[in-house]
Amino acid sequence: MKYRITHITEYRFQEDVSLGMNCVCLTPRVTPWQNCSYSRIVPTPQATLSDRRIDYFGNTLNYFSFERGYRTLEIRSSSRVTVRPRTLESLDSSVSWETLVIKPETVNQLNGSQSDRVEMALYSPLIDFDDESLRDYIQVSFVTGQPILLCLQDILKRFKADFDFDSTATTVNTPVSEVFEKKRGVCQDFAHTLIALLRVLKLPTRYVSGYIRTYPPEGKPRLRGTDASHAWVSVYCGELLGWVDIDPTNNCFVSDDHVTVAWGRDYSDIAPVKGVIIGSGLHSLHVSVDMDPEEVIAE
Amino acid sequence: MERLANYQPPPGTYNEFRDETGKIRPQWSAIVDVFGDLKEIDLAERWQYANRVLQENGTNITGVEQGQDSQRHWELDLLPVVFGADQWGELSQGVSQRARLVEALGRDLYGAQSLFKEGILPSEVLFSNPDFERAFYKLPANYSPLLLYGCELARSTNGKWWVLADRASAPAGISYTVENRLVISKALSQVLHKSQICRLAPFFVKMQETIKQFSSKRKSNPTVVILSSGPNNPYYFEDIFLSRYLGYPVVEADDLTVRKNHVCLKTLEELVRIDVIIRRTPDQNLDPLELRGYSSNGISGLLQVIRNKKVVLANGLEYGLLDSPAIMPFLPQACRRLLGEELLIPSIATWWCGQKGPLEHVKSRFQDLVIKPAFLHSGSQEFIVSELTKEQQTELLKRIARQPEKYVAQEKIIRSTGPCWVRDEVESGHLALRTFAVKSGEGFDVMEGGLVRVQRKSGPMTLSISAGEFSKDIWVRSDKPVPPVTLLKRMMETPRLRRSTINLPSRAADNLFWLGRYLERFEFAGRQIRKVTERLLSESANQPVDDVLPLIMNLAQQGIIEDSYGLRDFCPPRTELELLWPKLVRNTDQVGGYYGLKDEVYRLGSLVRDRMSEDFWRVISLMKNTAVAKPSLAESNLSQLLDELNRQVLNSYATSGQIMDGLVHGPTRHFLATGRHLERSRQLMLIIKQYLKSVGETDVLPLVTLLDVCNSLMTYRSRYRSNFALLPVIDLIVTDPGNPHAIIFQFNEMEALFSQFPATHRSPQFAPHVDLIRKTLFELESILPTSEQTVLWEPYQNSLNKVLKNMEPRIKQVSKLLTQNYFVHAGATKQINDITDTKQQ
Repeated sequence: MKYRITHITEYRFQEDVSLGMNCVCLTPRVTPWQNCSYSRIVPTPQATLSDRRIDYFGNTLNYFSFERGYRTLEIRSSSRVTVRPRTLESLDSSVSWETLVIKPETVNQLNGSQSDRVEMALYSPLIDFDDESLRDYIQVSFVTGQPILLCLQDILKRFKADFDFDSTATTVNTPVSEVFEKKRGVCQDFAHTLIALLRVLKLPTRYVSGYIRTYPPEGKPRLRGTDASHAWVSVYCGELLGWVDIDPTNNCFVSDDHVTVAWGRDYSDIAPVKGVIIGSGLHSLHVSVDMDPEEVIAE
Repeated sequence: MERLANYQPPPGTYNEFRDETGKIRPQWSAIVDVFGDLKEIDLAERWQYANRVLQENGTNITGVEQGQDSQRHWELDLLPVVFGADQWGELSQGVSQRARLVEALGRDLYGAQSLFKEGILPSEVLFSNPDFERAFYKLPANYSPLLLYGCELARSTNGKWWVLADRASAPAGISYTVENRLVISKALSQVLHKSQICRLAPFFVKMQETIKQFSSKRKSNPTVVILSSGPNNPYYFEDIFLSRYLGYPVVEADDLTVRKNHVCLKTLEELVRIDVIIRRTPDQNLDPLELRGYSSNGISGLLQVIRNKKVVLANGLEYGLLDSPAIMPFLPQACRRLLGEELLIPSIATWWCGQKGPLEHVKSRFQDLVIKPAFLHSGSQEFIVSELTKEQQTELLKRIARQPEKYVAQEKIIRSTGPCWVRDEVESGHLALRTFAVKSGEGFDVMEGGLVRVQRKSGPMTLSISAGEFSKDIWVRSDKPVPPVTLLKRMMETPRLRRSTINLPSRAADNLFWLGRYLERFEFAGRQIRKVTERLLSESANQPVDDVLPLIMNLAQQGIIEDSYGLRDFCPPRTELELLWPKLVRNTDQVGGYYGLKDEVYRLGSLVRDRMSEDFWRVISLMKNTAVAKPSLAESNLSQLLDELNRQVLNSYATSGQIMDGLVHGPTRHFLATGRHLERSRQLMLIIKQYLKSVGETDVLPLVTLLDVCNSLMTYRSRYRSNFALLPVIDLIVTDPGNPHAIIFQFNEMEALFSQFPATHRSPQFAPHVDLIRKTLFELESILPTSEQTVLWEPYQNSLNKVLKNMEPRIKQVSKLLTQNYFVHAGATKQINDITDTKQQ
C-alpha cells in the first residue's frame, strides 16, 4: 500500500515568541516492510537553522531554531511511504513466549544489534510501574508453553473487552497505573499499559509512533485532516518473526494500514514535536494528519 | 609543642601518625620537630587566626544539603595529614588509573557498549540506571571530555587504600582544598617552609593548559566560562573561588543561550561565543530541548552544539553515570578489558543486588553492611543495617526483594585515624580523604595534596564533602627542596596568567551597579554615624544634640540602626544615648546595619573582583578587615568608635577613589558610576527631607551638620563664609549644578552616563529609565526661577517638596528598569510541552 501523508502541527501564541527551538521526530523509518521514498519537514516561518541526526534508537530527528521569533509556528511534515503487508502465517507455530523472556543468563549471549532487546524489557521513564495486579492480569493470557502470537492475540481480545477508548479520561500526565485502573484512555495510554504488562514478564516491547489509515463510513467521502498520529506496540517474537507490531487500540496485528515513524522505550523517547520558547501565552495547538492512500489519489 | 609528639593513637585502627610498633612514621618525624618549635599558645592563636580568615573569606557551605537554610562555616584543623613523596606517588598512580578508567567507561557505555555486549557488565546496571540518558549517546569525545575527577579514599585497618566513591560529574571539594592551603600558608608559613611541602599550584596550571588544549585547534585564545548552579547550591563558594583562581568568569545556565549553532554568553553589548564550558553543576538535565525532567535553568540546544563540535563541555555529561555505586563491583574486569591493566586501588567491597549470587551474600551478612540506592550518587542516601530496628530491617529486605536491581550493599569501613588539634589538645579523628585528577594529554595528573574531612567518633561518615566536623590539609613531602617562594604569592599570581577577553556579562553589570550603590550607602552611613558620635563626644554633658537627631532618625528609617529610633519621640536623652550609641552602631544582628553594609560591599566587590585591579581588592579587603575594636572601658566606647569610624570613612573614600581613578571608561565604570549617582541622590534626598521637617529658618547648627554630612561644608564656607541660611544651604546641595554633592549633579551625570550605555533593543533616548531621569532633572531645574528674579525661600521650598516627593518612587523605578533592560538579558526558555497536551490519539 502506498500513502501520501501530511502531518501539520500548528502553534498559535498570544504574544510574539522571541526565540523558539524544536526537535521533531516525524520522518517515517525505513524498515524491511516499509520504504519511505520522500520525506520533507518544512516549518513556517523559515527556520534560522535546521539540523538533523539519527538518535540512539535509529530514528531521524530534525532540529529547527527560530531566532527571529514568531507568533504562529507551523511544522508541516510530508512524506510518501510504501508499506508491504505483514502477514503472520499461523499463530500457533510461533515459539513459546518463555523462550523470549530476558533473563540475566540470556543477556550475555546477546550481542550487537540484538542488545536493544534487553533495554526494551526494562523500566523506562514513563513505565516504571510494577504491581501484583499487572502480573495477575497478564498471566491469564500467558499460559505456560503457549506460542507467543497466541498469547498476544488473547491479550488483544481482552483489551478490546476491558478497555474503552475515551479521549477525556486521561491527560499527558496520567500514569500507567491510573490508566490500568480506569481501563480508559487513548492509544498512547493503551500502548503504555500493554508495554507495562509485557515488561512485567520481561518480554522486549517497544513503543511505536506513526499513523493509521482510517476508512470513511460506507458511501461517504474520506474527510481530509481528520486522521491522527497514532501509537502502538512492538513485541519481539523470536528470530524468525522478529519484532511483531500489535495495536491495542484497534485490537489487531499490524499489517499495511499502519505507517511506522519511530520507536523507543515509551512516548518520552519519541515525542513527535518537542520545543522550547522564550515567551508565553500559547493560544492554541492544532494538529492535523492526512493520510491519502495512493489508489484514492489515482481516482 | 610537645603534645603532638606525645599523641597516642586509639586501638583498632590504622594510624597515619604512628606505626603498629608505636614509632612515629618517617614522613611525620620532621613535621613533628617543626611543630615542636611552636608553643601551644601560638598554635591556638594561629588556629583562631586561620579560622577567622576562612570566615572572612566567606568560605562556607550553604546548608542546603543538610536541610537547613543557614550557612555552615568551613573549619580547618592546622595539623595536616602527611605523606612521603613515594607513598603519595604510589597512591597517585592508582588515582590516575581510576580517572582513565572512568573516562574509558563513559566512552564505552555511551558508545560501543562492549562491556555490556561482552557480558562484563549486567545490562540492568546500565539500562536501569536513570542517569543513562540516551541523548548522550556518541557525543564527540573531544567535546565532552572528562576534565576533573575526584576520588574519595579511605584506609582500612591494615593500611590498604580503598576507593569509596568516584566523582566524575562535577567533583566538589577542589576549591576548599586550595583555600585550606592558602590559609595554612598564612597561619603556618614557617612550618610550611621548613617542611618541603609540594605545592598545589602546578595542578591548576595543568588544568588551565588542558582547558586551553580543548580548543587550541580552532583558536589561540578560547573563551572559557565556569557554569555554576548559582548561590543556592551548597558549593557556590567553590565556583567563585575557582573562577578567581583560574581567571574564568562564573556564569549560570540562564546567562547562556544557543544561537546559530553556538553557545553564547549574554553580555550587555552582544552575544559572545563560548568555546569551553567548565561545568560545575551536578545536574545532567542541562538541555530542556531534549531532556526530560529538566531543571528550569538549562541551555536549550546545548547537546546539538556539542554534537556539531562547536563547544566543549567539561566534564561531559556522560560521566555522571559513574558516580553511582552499582558499577563498582565490575570495575576490576572493566579495567582489564578497557585499559588492559589490573585495577591498582580496589573499590570498597560492593555487591549489586540485581544478581543472584551477590544478593544471597547480602542477605546472609545483612547486619554487617550498608545498603545504598544503586543508581543515586553514592552518599546521598544510605542505611546502616545494624543501626536499624528489626521492623526497619524487615521492611528494607522487602524493598530489596521487590526491586533488587535498585540496591547495592557495601562493607562498613573503619577509617584510619590521625592527630587533630581540638580545643588546645591533640586528639584522634577518623579521616576521609579526597584527592583530584586533572586531564593531561592522554592521561591524568593527580594533585599533590587533597582534602581531609574529620569525624572524631568512629563509624560511618557520609561521602558528601559537607559531612564531617572539620577539615584538614594533606601535605605531601617533597624529596627535593621546594623553592622558598611563598606558596601564597605564587598561587595568587597564577590566575593572572590567563584572562578571558569577554565583554561585560549582564550579571557582572548587575553586580557593579549594586556595588556602586552599596559603596555610596556605606559612605553616607559612615559620615552620619561619625557625625553623631562626634557630637556626643564634643559638647558638655547636658547639652542636647538636636542637630543630629534627623541623622539618627534617617539611619533608623533605613534600618542601619534599630528602626524604633526612627520615631521622633523615641530618641532617649543624651546621657542614655551616649551609652547606647556604640552598641546600636555595632549591633551585628542588625541585618542592614553598618557592618552589614560593609559585608555587602565586600561581597559585591568579590563578585566583580575579576574585572578590577589588585589595588581595588586591597582597599576592599582593608575596609573589610578594619577590626572592630573590643571596648575595654565603657567610657572610652565613644572615642574608640570615633576612631574606628574615621578609619572606616577613610577606607571607603579610598575604595571609591581607587575605583573611580583606576577604572577605564567603559561599561564597567558606567554601571558602577550609575549605581553611585543613583544612591547618592537617594541619600541626599532622604537627609534633606529629614532636615526640612525640623529645621527652622534661623537655626544654624543643624545647617552646619547637614552640610558636613553632605560633604559640602567647605564649599559653602568658601562662598558664604559663616553666613548660614536655609536657602543658600539647600541650594548648594540640591540645585547647584556645579557641586558634585548636589542632587541635580547626580541626575546630570546619570543622563550623560545613560547616553553611553550599550544600546538595547530600545533606543536609549526613548528608554523609560532615561525618561524618568530627564523628568526629574527638568523639575530640579525648574525650582529656581528662570529670570533674574530674587529667589525666595517659600516658593523654593514648595517646589522642592514636590520634587522630593516624586523622587523616591522614581529612583526605585529607575533601578527596576535598569534591571529589566540590562541585567536580565532574555527571558528563560520554557518547554512548550509544559503548556500543551500533545498526546497521541
